[in-house]
Amino acid sequence: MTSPVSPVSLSANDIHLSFGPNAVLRGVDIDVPAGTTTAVIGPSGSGKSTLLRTLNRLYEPDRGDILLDGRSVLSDNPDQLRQRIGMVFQQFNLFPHRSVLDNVTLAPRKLKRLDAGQARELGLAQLDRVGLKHKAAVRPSTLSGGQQQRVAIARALAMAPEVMFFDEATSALDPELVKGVLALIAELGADGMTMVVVTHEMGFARSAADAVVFMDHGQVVESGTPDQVFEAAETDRLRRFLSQVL
Amino acid sequence: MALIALLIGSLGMAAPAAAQVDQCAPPGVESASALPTNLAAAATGPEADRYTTATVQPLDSIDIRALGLSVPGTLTVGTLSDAPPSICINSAGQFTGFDNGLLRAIAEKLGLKINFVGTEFSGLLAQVASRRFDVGSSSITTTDARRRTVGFTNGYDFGYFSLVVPTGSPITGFDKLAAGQRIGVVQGTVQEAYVVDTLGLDPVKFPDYNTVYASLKTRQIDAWVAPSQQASGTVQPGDPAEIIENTFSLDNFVAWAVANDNLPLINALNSGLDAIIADGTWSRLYSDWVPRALPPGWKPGSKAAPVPQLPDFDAIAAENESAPSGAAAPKSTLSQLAAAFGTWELYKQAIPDLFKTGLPNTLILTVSAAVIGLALGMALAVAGISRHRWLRWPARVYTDIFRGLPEVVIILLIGLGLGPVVGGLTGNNPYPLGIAALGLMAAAYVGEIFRSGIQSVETGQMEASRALGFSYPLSMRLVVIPQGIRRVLPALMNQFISLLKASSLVYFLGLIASQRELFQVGRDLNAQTGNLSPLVAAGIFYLLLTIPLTHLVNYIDGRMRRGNKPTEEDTLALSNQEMI
Repeated sequence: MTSPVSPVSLSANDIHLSFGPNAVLRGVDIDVPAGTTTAVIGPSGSGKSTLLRTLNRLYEPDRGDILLDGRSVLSDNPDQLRQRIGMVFQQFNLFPHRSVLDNVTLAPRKLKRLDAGQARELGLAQLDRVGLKHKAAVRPSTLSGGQQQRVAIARALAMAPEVMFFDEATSALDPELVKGVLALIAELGADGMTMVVVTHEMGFARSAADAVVFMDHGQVVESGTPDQVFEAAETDRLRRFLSQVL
Repeated sequence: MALIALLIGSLGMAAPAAAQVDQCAPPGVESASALPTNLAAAATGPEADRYTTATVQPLDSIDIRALGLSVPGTLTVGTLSDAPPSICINSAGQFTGFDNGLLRAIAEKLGLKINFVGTEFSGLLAQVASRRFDVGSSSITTTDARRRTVGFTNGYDFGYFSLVVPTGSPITGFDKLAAGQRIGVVQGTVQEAYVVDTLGLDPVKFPDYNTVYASLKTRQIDAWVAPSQQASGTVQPGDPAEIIENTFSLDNFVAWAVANDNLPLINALNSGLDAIIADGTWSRLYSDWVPRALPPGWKPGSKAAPVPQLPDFDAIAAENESAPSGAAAPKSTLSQLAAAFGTWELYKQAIPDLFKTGLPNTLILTVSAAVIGLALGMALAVAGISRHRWLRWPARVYTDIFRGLPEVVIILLIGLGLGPVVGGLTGNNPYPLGIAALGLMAAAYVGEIFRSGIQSVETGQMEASRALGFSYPLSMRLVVIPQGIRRVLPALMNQFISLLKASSLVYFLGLIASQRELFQVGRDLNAQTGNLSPLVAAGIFYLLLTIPLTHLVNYIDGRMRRGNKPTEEDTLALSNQEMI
């Protein structure tokens, strides 16, 4: 379905980022082996979403290093780096002035120079994968939230990324739509995509992730396998957090 | 809508009352007047002939290639359309009148083509000084003040000032003018200087003769100090106004203005003037257009020019005086109003010109300026939200200046100020300058509209686009700007309507007959006839353009509010394509 790009490992060392006097990330380390899914959990304002945006250099880190497939990407062209990392947002952020198909094919056409026919074929294939091929011609605003998020996933996948980021991808969805989107994300992980999933869905983190990272106050407080994190929390902060959300 | 209905209604009623006079036709020798008997004592000096040349260069020794003409072989003349019988535009759209008739004859003598361009008196001398025009022809009375700006030919006419007042006014002469009265003059004229300097009073200044007279008739002013030709040409029998007194100034003859340093052209025109005096052309045109007794001690041309042979105007005038001139009964206010707004013949006369000349020019001006405004406005908007202060800052300054200045100031500054600088580029044609001025002005507003539209697009759109790997400029172009523009379409349309109306201001720059836009076509015919109907006709053309646009704005706005729901067909069309 997706053009065969082998997923790569992603790691970051000692990432620091401040907005003015506000230290948002304070020395974050994260290590995502190729083909695995890491769920990032933590209270609001803990720096989870900022971490994702720093890892694909929407924000430039003040300090630290980011490695993709073992190689530092900080000196790469950030636009080209982001072509290798797909990202899905809480608010979908589909382009409302373009059709569903155009949303999916815009980047391949403009950045990978696919011709109209190729782009259309690719776009329809991606939409088929998320079950929305029949909605290709409509504007995104006519779709349900769950459908919009599926289109956003198809849009990210159309660039054949080596890593996928999900930033609270189901938080803005009506409860009955959450399950389907989570299933799609889990399926993607099962297919061998390297993924970082910022989520409030503890059930998902437990069942679909290979590793779970708990962040608080801009730092990684605990990390490990789902079983370690959810069953054998070492810190009070994690235990308190889990008692609130579970 | 009700207004239009009312206007159209009044047309029908007023039609029979219309008996139109073309004020730009020669009145003929029968209209001759004697020297005004009610001449006020005027300031005449002994040095009257300080400027008149003793003799002229022989006509055949003039090298027409050395006259410094802006278009070689053609005399480009700046003139006005609204001061009959001296200068005016006739019903055929040709600039004529006594002054321009003489100039045409002189050009012929010299073997030059002649091209008249309409402008405003207030800018005429400056435009002559900057050589936008080779000659200024507008019954210009020479004064020392004016000689500091431009050079003058020998005199071809003389002037006295007339005092025009509403019928029955307590003002009976120049000596009755006093502070507290509203005394109308045309800005920049000798009459203005006379009222200010000689009478020591503060006049009400008007842009042109026609507006002063309209204001006098409606009693918005108490008196009008006018050049006598204008006064006698404008005040019609039956009008609620009369010429009450004249004053004469011998030392200030009437002449053509030429750039100070262009002595060859001044000499050539002087030679031509003497030549048409000698062959009788001057006398013929004088008798046709402005027949009145020459004041003692004055003749046209150089001192060596022959005294023109003229009919005995005093006798003709006396004869006409005795003949019953059918003293026109004063018209009622209502019939005056009906005639002023609803003269059907004038609508019929105006509409073809408005359609053939005015409408295309208005559209060309507006659309070209809109293109400049959109392109430059987009650049300003993008610069205005840039992170770099050296992009943001100039955009800010530009916007503040061009949004802060009145439209007419921008038009005049760019049209008249920049004109001489880029004269080579535009061939002294103010049309492109007008478009540039309108476009630069529109850009400031359009830039702000675009900026607000772009800034209203959610930050998530830019973030999603950047996350896909698009650069900042590409994200702007493909994602943010298209959405921003959609949101501000109604505001843009409104700006376009403003621009359409502002295009009328280009008339300040002086356009040749074929370049006139809607307003000036209406204005010229209005000036020619003293009737407002042509302006009403021009107004209707504007409304026919702007009202549909206004409704289009409302439609777009409403559609955007409802949201652009794709139809079932869109989906079907796509699935059909897939099946094929």
